[in-house]
Amino acid sequence: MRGVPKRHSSKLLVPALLMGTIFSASALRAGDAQSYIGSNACEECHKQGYKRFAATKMARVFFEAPRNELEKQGCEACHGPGREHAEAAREHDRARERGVAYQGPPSGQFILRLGKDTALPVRDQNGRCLQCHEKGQRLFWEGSSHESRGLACVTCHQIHQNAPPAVAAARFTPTLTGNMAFTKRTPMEVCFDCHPMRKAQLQRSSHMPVREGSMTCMSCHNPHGSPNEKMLVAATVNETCYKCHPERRGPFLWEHPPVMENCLNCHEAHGSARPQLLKINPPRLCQECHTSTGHPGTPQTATVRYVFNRGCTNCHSMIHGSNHPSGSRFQR
Amino acid sequence: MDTRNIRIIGRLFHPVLLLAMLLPGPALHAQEGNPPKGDVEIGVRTLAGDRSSSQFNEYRDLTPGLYIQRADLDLEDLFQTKYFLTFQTRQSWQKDQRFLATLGRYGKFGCDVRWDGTPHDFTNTASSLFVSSGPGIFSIPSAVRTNLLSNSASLPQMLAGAAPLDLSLERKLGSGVCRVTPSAAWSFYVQYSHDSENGYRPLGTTLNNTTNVLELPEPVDYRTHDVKAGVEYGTSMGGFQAGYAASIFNNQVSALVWDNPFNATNASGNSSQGRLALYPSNTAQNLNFAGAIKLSKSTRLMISISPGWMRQNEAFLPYTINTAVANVPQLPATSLNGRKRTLAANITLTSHPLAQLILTAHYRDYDYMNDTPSLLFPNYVSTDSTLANLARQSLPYGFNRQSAGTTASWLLHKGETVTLGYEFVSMDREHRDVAKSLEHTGSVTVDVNPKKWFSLRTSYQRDERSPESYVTNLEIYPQGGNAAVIPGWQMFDEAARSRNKGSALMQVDASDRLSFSASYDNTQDRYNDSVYGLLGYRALNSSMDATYQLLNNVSLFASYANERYKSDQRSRQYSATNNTSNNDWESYIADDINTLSAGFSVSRFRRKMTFDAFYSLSFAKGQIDNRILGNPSLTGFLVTTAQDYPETGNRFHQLTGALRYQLSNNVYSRVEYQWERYDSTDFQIQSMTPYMGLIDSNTKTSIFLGANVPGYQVHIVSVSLEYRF
Repeated sequence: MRGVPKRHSSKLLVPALLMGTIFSASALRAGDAQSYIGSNACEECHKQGYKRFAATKMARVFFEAPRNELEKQGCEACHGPGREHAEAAREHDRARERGVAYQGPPSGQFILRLGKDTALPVRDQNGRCLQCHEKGQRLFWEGSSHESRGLACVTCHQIHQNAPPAVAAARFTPTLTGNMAFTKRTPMEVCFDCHPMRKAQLQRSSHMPVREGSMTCMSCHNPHGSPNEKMLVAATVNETCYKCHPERRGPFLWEHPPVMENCLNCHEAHGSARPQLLKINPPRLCQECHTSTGHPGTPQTATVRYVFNRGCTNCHSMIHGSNHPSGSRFQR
Repeated sequence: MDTRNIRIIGRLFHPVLLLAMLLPGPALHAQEGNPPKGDVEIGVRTLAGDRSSSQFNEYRDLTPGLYIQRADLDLEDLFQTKYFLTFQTRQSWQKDQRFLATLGRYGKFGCDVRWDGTPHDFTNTASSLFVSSGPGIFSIPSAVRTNLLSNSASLPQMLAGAAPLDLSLERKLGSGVCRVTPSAAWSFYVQYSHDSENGYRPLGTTLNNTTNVLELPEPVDYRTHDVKAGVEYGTSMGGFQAGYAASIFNNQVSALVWDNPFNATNASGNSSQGRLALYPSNTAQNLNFAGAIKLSKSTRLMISISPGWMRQNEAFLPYTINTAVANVPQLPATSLNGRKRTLAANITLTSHPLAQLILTAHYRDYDYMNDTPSLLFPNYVSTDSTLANLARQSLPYGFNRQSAGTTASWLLHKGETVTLGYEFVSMDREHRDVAKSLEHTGSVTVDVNPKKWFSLRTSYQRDERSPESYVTNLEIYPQGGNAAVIPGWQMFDEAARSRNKGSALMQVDASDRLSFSASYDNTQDRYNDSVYGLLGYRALNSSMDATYQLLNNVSLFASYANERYKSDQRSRQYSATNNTSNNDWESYIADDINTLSAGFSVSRFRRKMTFDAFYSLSFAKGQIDNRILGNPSLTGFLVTTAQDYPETGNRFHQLTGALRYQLSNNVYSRVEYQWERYDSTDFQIQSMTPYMGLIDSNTKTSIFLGANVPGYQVHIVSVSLEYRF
């Protein structure tokens, strides 16, 4: 920071933030028509940022096909009315041109900034986005786990540019998506920031094709909130699984009740060191419930057909349900 | 022209075709305005090592030779209009290829057409004596059968010459969706997708009880049509959504029929063929209604309701294919007429009565109503062998889960939040052991963010599930035949359970250059009333992650995660006449998994070069130990097979180094080296060969596929050119 000693700059930071909060709150209130100066004025000083933003879908809508008054405001739709900000900035520039110290308030105090470094509360930051985006997948944002834990939209999304810069090699195969507005190269990497165990589970020997790019976290979860448990995209775990495995939904003549109620009774969806995403290998998995006479109650050595290969499902292979009149034991 | 030449020409054809698609791009856009943007990356790849391993190819298609890694085309102002067209493809013309094209007009409409391919390789070591003689029909050649009939001991020699099998699936998903937004408030969408899944996967079958365990390739020929349509209206005061979704699943192969290699003539107790029903075709439909409204400036009400219907009515197969089984009863119905209704309803109320206070309350109801008729089968044929002489009744299992909960979050200071939560769950089940259970969950969450560079998120949850009573359901054997139940045995998904769950996540941005995070999760389940069955489960996970910006264009990262899972279960080996606790045994299951990764990234070195390198290792160890609880010297002691199983484990290494260099304004080159190594130790599958009689003498008249998942070590080098415009 040229010209201002570092010690002083940190002392200035606290009142500046305080003032920023106050001014931000006032800026949140809708300004009158004269307060708005239009996006072209923003471009004058923020050429690079404007250029990057102009390439995004959101900018296309704002600049080329606005559907309401808010969208017509362009940059100011999110950042609030910019007149005071621009005037302060111009004043600052004029002072610099004259070679005198600028005595007025920092121009940044008159504009709403989103992100971690702003004093604007997360709820108010998100409110800017939700002006337009409270529809679709965000209908249940309020009250969702992510909202209640104070996540900002800009924690995961970057607004001013389409995609992070190119890398030589990606750690995770990106999915093909029309939505590139993420802070990381793939949406999964955004999730992994707060859910690091899920990143580790992707490396398991038994996993869904997430690291290969055929699925993402959003294939099953809606991070913007859903009316369902665990922010699932469908009403239950099973209805979520049926989206890719419709053959398992039945109805079957012979249902296996724990299977019908919850796939996660037996499977670990995020990745497992056991085959077929199982929590535990058969026969022990099945013996958690089945202890009847005969082979279910027998511990069994490792070298018998009840254990090797797929254990119990060597014979009881229709374990997800059978439609055969003689299939009550899931062997038909 | 031999096959190789055709393949080479085919591979050359693909990029030419792609370029032909991309080059007209400029002609389609306006002379003025936004120029077309895009890129194409085409390369050559070579592989060395065990690249036939199914684990290597599990969900991908990495073949040597020419490949198209990506191509993107972005046409704005199409035909000098306000329409845009984008086209993206990845791994083109490979089994895992993806295409996405979007045509639209900003703020008005957008239509996507998508194609996704996903291979799934199960094993590369399978072989079989069976030959496919029709969809879902596997025959044994008569010469093979004759040989085995005269001398079943010749099986190992015959299996040594069994034909290799391709056990893999290929999934192809084509879909199209159009969204129209005539105004900022209104939007409509319609979507159709067609998902086809084809191939074979391993399936266990058994004949004549367990005399002939015959593992076969299960034919998969699935077609699923999905249709969705909906409308949405939204303003700053709230909005509503309404939609319809239908899914029609069609299995082209409804039954699996196979020969018994060891018997050519049907007899009661010894069938010459087997037949099982594969997954029946079915349909599912859903209506979705959701709405949200701001009741006041600080209060929002959200409601959703979604009724659904599932149907299945595929014709029943006969009880058996074995014509020699006498006195087979009539089927009680020709098909199931399976009908289920679901109703998912949710009401959520959130309120910010004070600036520092957030209150939420929710009620959720999921009703799984099974209207499928309950059918009484007076008898059935066990494994196409003999009559079981047991009546069985199919039961329309259903359940209703209702939950209500509330949370209160108090914002103590910027970024510092304390949240208290409580949830109550009532679960009602039909035809199961527990008709009703209640569950109470209390939680506390503390998020601390004292500095903008430091945050700590912690939570603790206590959960108590209590069945009103646990009564073993005997309805499936309406005329007797239920096995004796050990007192104290309970199924874990219904049993009483105490759960303690804690988690913490710390994130530190120590400086502009260094960020660090660490997490800890601990879950402990105890099944309080279960004396037998699953007794407890523990999961203990921790992780660390660090990123350091060494220079403006050089960053380093490293991460480590440790996961430990443990469970213990108790059982009893017993018979109708010998049912004592002296035959109790326990099993202790433990998984210990470590994952570490590290790497660095150099971006825009001398403005032209980007370099990325990273390594990751995941190593897992699994134990299943078993212990007898009784005294072997007492009369009637049965538990002679409670032995610790061999340890299982696997290691997966990945090393990648890639250099991307800007050759000119528009052209980049990329060189990438990847090394992957996977090692696995799994006594359950590594012992597998088509003949298992040497390991288990009871399988001398059984045939397996020998489906193993071998380890591999593969080096991949690829060189590509990327053209950007």
